[in-house]
Amino acid sequence: MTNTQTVRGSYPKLHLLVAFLAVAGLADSIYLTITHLTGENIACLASSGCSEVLSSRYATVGSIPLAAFGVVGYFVAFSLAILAAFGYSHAMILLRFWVAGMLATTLWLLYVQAFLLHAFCTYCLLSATLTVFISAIVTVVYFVERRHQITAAAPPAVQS
Amino acid sequence: MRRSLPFVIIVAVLLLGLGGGLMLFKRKQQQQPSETSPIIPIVETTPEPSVAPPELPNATLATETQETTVATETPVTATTPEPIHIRGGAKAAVTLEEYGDFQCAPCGRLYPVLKAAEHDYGDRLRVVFRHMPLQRHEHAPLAARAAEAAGLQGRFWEMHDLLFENSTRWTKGIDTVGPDAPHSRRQDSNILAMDLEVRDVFFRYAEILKLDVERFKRDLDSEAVRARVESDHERGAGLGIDRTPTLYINGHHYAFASTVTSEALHAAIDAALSGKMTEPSGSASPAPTSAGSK
Repeated sequence: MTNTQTVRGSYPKLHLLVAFLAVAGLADSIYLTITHLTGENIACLASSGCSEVLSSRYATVGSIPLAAFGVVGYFVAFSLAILAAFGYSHAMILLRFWVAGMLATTLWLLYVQAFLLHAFCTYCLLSATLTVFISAIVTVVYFVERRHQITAAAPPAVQS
Repeated sequence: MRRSLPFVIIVAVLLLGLGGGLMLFKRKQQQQPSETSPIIPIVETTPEPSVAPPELPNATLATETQETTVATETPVTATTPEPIHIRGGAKAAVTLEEYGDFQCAPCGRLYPVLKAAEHDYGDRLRVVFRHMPLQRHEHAPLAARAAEAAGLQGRFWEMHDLLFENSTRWTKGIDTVGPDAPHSRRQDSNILAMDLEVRDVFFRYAEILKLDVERFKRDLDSEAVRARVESDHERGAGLGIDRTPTLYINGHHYAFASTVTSEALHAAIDAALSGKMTEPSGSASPAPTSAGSK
């Protein structure tokens, strides 16, 4: 193993959980992207109340649906989580920054739905929930790892 | 093997995502409404104008009404609703059929785009409006009936315009109309008005349009008006329409790309005008003969 990889302290179970949640987010984002491509987002669907949110000007960046960015976001998060679970320490660090960006975007979108659009979309809320859980797990991993590092770096107690 | 395993998993998920997305895309495309809407009425048999529209109190509304190409007008003594609502050139080369819901925000956003197209194409375009009130829009059926009740007094399109122009107001029980109407704090709320409040707003609209309000109140809940709305809805359901707005241009389903822009709609109408979009083969199917158009 090189110095960029370490199996010890990779928290495989927690990172696999992050990967699992990211796959769920990926599926959600793919669904929303497909509905955009088939024109459902700019119509009122008989079966869904998301049109107010997904047809708003906040739902696209230029001509690219925001959901497509979600697909990329979740896929990268999944990939980094898998690599981290297998001991790639650099992936673990990158994952923290990536998830922080996703959480910031999620909070902004929740603000838009609550205060600018006065409407919520179930699929968007599902995505927000997944991102919040992923962020929570990554934060827990960060603090647990930090605690271990402090413990490991501390000088042995002097016996009197 | 262990070193390559994470990459194998990542590639596998990538392929699954792409494959699943592609399958979903194909499935969604199959669920789109019917590609053709067969019944486009022949309007050459429609009667000549019988009455002129009255002066409207609201300057904005009156201006918009004058812009409309008036082909025919339903007599104000009508006891049954028009079988079909048509606005535009009686012999227009392009027919645009909309399945709409007055409470649907995207329909409200399409409204000015359609209005601009009507203005730009004049006699070369006629617009057909079909009711498709969605079940989850609690006031949409009432709004559709309000338009029909106004239609019984020859003012279907005026009520249609009022409802779309003020859809963010009447759904909240606010009865002011027009672009210069004062902003109401209630508009910012996410809470819809009660049914009785919305009815009151529609009675106010009937007054604005100088309708016989007592008759309008009776017609709003009449069986004939309910049946008229239901017949459009059944027609739409029969075509597999599950969303609003759904447009057909010369009987061909017009699939929105990502947004409904004037440019995109104009391009589609231009294509229809240049003959690239012909009438579907089923267009000769039964058509109402007494179609009133305006």
